[in-house]
Amino acid sequence: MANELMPLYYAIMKHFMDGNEHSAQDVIDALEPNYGGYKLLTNKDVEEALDTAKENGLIDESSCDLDNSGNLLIRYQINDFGRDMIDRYIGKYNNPV
Amino acid sequence: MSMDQRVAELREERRRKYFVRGVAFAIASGICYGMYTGTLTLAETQGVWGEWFAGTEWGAGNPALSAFVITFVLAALAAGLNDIFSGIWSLAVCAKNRQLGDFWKTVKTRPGRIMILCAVIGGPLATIAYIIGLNSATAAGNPGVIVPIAALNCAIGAILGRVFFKQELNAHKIVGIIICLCTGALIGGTSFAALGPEALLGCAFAFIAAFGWGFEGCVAGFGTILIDYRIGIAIRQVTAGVLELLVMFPLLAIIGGEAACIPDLAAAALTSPALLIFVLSGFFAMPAYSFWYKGNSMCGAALGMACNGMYAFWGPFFIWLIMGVLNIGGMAADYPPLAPIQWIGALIMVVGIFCIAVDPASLFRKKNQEA
Repeated sequence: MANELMPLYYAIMKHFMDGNEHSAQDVIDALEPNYGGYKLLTNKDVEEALDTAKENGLIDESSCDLDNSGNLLIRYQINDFGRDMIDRYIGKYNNPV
Repeated sequence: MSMDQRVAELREERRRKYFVRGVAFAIASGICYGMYTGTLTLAETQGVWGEWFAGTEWGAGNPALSAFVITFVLAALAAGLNDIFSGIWSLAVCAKNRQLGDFWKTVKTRPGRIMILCAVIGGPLATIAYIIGLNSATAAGNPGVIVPIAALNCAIGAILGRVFFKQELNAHKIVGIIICLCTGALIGGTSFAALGPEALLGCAFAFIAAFGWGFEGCVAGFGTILIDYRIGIAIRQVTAGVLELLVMFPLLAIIGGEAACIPDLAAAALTSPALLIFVLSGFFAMPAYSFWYKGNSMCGAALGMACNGMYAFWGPFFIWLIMGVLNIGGMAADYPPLAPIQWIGALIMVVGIFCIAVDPASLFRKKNQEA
């Protein structure tokens, strides 16, 4: 996969830098145009990435809901610690516009 | 049932599933570690390796290796072969998940370089220190002594996790870590009273290993929030394998004044049929480390590393199973069953892990609420 995109997991985390709340599905929808060909851009994998980021204190659960088919829908929002970590470690990597 | 109740219920279920999955990864890492230790131990008794460690003439009448070469140089060679094969397996997994592009890009970024640093500290430095420690303690007739010392890595990792990443470390976790350490000592079958100077040297090297792995487990565990664990482990094993084979192996030989033996040893190791067993040990080493990272990132360094620390039991267990019970290698008599104390130690360790994972006070609170 020769492209100019940053690694998928960086893109998942950086998606939260806009300060808004996002669910795993929101992240997938947003990354789909660029990362659609990636095998690990699935609900299961993204959910686990977000759970792990939450467990380590980078993002917080901001709201909890049921979606139309009755599944749990958790939205997350970045916190100060997460912003600091992401800025410090992957702040300078961006996708070409 | 109201919508809010349903949401709360599903959320609790999801949280529990995630927790169980994290603990499962961490425990599986310890089991794989045992399988990798078992196969690596087997590899080191086969073909030319058996002759080297026996200290006899090897190959077509080559003179026996010096004690220095056996202790230090072979350690680097064995660790390097194991890690490089493990790295190749890890890259194959990345290829299957179409992650090779991300692998290469990650290497060139800051988190990737931190992962390389972890590999340097946990790979060439800690692993070789551990093998040196093991060999000098064995020479002193007390190999068990270094197991609990190396197992200190779980306590060191938990402390570093507290310092670097603000992971919480409260009383019940500290109690659990102490229980795990004591049982590590029990399983190691240690009599600290019988310590000679050589065993002390072994302990010193084992402590270096513990520090290296503590650092690695904590930092790389945190790193796998930003890096997929399959990519993380590929970076770790390729880095460690290349450095051990191309830097540590020749460097140690030169330090020992045995530079001339480098090509002979490399050629003999690469053409020995035992190489295939290293391919297998590398295969088990891949999940041993990748699940360790994954477990640490999912449960925090304290719990993740305690579950992994059960390798103090799984290591001897698989060595016994592979070489004793199954008699692969044909030396069953040298590998008797585990002593009762080792089984008891393993059970107590489970209690220790439970103490880290669950705050007993919160269990009682829940009971009271239900009542």
